[in-house]
Amino acid sequence: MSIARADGGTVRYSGRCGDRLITVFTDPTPPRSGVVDVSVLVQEGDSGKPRPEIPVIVEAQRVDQPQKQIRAPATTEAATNKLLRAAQLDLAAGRWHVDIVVEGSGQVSPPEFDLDVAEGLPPWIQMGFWIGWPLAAIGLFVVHQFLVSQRPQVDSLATSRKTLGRPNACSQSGVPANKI
Amino acid sequence: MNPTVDAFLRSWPFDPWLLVTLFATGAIYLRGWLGLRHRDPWRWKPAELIAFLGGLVALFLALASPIEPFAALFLQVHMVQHVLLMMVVPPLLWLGNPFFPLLRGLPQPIRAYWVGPILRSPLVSRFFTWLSHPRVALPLLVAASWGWHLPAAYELALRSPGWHYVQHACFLGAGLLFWYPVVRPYPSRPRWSLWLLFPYLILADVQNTVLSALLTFSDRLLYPYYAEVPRIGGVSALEDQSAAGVIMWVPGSLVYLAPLFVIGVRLLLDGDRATPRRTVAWRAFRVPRARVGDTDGTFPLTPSPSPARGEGRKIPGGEGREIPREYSSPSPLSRRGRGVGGEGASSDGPSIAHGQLLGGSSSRQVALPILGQPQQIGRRPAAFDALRIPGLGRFLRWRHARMTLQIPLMLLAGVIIYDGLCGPPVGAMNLAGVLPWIHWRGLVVIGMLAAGNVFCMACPFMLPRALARRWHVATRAWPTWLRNKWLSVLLLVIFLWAYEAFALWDSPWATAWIVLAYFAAAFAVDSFFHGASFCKYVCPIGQFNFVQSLISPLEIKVREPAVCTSCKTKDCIRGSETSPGCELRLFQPRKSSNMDCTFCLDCVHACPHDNIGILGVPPGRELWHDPFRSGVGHFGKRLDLAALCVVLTFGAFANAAGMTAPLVAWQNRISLNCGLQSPLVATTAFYFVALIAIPLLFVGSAAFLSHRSAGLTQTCAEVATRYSYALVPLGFSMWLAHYSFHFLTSYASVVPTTQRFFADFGSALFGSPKWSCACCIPAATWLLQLEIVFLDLGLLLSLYAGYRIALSHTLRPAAALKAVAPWAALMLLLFGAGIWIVFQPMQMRGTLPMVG
Repeated sequence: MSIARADGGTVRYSGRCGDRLITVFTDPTPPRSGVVDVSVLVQEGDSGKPRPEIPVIVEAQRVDQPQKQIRAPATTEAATNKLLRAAQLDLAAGRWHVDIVVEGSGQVSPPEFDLDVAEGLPPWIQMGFWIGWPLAAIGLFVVHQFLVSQRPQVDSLATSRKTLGRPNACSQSGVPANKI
Repeated sequence: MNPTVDAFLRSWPFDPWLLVTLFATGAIYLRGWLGLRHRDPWRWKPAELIAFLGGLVALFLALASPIEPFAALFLQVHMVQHVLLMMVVPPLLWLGNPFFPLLRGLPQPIRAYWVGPILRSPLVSRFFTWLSHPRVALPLLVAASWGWHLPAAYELALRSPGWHYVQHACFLGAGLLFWYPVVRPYPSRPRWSLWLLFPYLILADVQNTVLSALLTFSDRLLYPYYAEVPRIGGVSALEDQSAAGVIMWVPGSLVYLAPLFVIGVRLLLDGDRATPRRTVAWRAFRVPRARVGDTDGTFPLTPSPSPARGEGRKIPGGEGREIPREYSSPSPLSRRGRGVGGEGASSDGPSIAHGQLLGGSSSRQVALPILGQPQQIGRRPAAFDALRIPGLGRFLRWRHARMTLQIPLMLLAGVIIYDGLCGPPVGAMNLAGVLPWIHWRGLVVIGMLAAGNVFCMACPFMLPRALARRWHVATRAWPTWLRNKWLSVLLLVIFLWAYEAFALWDSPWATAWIVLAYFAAAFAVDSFFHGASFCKYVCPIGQFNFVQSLISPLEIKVREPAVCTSCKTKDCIRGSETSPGCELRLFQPRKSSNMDCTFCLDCVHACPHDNIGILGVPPGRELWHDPFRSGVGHFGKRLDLAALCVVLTFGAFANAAGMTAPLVAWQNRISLNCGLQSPLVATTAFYFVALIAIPLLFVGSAAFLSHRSAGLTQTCAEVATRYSYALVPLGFSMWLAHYSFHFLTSYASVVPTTQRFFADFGSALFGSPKWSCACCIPAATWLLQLEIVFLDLGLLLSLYAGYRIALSHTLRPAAALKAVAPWAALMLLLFGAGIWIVFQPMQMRGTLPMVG
């Protein structure tokens, strides 16, 4: 199986179906329980011209529990790349058999493939970046406070140097050295 | 149209975070650029603005245009994306001379307190200087280009979204560093002869040419990935690769070689003037004279690009008094002052200009005027005043502005009452179920985040009593023993419990009666007692708004304190002939924070000096400042206020948790085990624990530990009182995440309910109800991210507020850390609870179940 990743995800199927070329992508990679995006690219077999207007239906059936079936139309609205048609399927972990029904493909057997859906990652891992970035902010704050704490020493050094050259200059002006 | 082209033009990925980042960056730059241009239009030209905004647009096109989805199918499109990131975006951004506009565009407190110390740091300065040196920048560019074009690395980026982001970040970062010495954005100065840019750019072009040639002339596919994706338009993978090489080669060479031409012409025209000299450092940053009135606490930093032309020049329109020569002396901008300025252009260090921007690498630090000073915070008049916004300000200053805002809400309240009592008893189909519990709540918290206590400003409950007071003047005073927040704390606890226990969100009838009761209570209380006793001591909604608006960005306050000092009439509190004074007894000169302020604008209308505005303030600052506040006193001495804050904080989490599937299941299980018919007892027990027991236990423990570990002199009760305010941002973030989630997923539900409402009267004005709109739309990924970001920001602000409160108690950072540690642990606990809540499946209240 190809593991190329495209706009719709990983290429799961690519082949000729009658006079059409069908390519099916799934996302995420690897598929995990939850919403799985199935995108389909339909092209003319001869010219390779994309045919995004052709209706496509995606059917998924759990291999070990055939009574569990999901059927959803793939639409261009749901796809980011408008060459493709996409459907979002809510799949549980396990092996699923996916059929792609392309309108007008006649008696030709539709594209089909098995999809192993892994257990979903805990949400706090999926959203790890969004939960964890405050740690970076806190780290930056620590650095900031360190730099702030260094300033009075630098300022006093500057003041003393200035005072050496010009006695009581700072006290006369009443302006701290760091506010010149 | 060709279907591929048509699809390309319609394939726009939606990346809200990129859009927000670009818009925010553009807005900050624009604000700063406008400010700088206002001071020195000669120096800040529109071309810079166009270049910078063009750079942002190019970045948007690279990452969020059809280029992004099609880059996965075509290597040549992918190459366009990389060319944009490395060769177009960086020079455009640098041509915008972004340092000063971006700094100037930041709010002054952020600029002075947060950014200043970092930019002034010699360490940061040295690091950036090293990084942007040609001997480092060029190898980095070469490494990024060649490294990421190695088949293994490129394949990795193509197959992994995470590595793809890293690749883009590398290209953009390397591009920015590479183009920095070429463009030399102001205030950078050359640290080497411009002649050296010739080999610099030529070497860059050579490596680009070699890499391009490899791609163009290779007879084998370097990236097998492109053999696996479908080929479109009859373009083979190898042809695609060759085209990608050509795109990299030709435009790339043009981009690298065009600056050589410009530099060459400049060298020919300017001769040796274009090369760096060991000049007196401050001359490079001669500060032009400026009007005194132009100063806003930060020196007008409008240095001229060339010393000769800038010296002695007057700012257009600067016919006013000029700043004394000594104030416009170069010392604030020079790294080592006049005497040692000649060393500024030393070859081993950063340019003077660069050193000045980042604070210099010398041991002596000077203030960078554009950054301002932290000490100035709070002294300067706020830059933003909502009352000075054209149109809006005029409207708000109008005497009948509040009533104009109240009347529509009064009408809506009437509709809610009518529909609640007479309409269908299903929340999702009734305006009394949709408007208050989805729209009003969501808009209130969003309004509080964006502006301030805008709901109290337009509160419809005050309208009847305001009208009644034209004929009847209440004379009695609110009882002394009730002049605190305890009554409203009790009412809030009861309301939060009743909301869940009686499913008010799904009972239009009960909602209508609550609204009616609100009108009656406000009318009764304020008819009997003078002032705004209902708002200040009773109204639970008002207390919610008062507490949450402590972190709002706007506050009604005095513009110029000196004017109040000389004011004899004090109309803001006493009232004038045309307007009453503040009924909540907030004397403007001593008012601080939004606590107890209903934004009624009576003080604004009463002030004879037009000295009160709706000013921008640092959000949350009042939480750790504890001055004496008119009408409120010290926060640290108000146990009732602290209790209100605690109840609202824990209430936020309890209210949100109450709709999660695990908690609902738990309540049902408890009821079942106890043989109860309804979950009322379990709900009551939950709210008792969540709003009373846990807050007492956790806040009490944190106060005790804080008191013991830091050796604080205050009692535990005083510590608990003071630190409780630090929890407000976290509570607000939970309210915001919760209510904005409902609002953003169910906002369309108002459409069919309004259609049904009118249809009930036989009106076909809005058509027949489209009940599909009343179904909750699935939450997008970005919405979950947004909820987490709200919680993140709430946590950070709470931690910071706690730290600042601790510093005010102990002064020593180490002791402050000890004092705040228990509170930080409590905040992290609440944050964790909030994260858990937003991850749970939610009851989509106020919406119809999705069918099919």
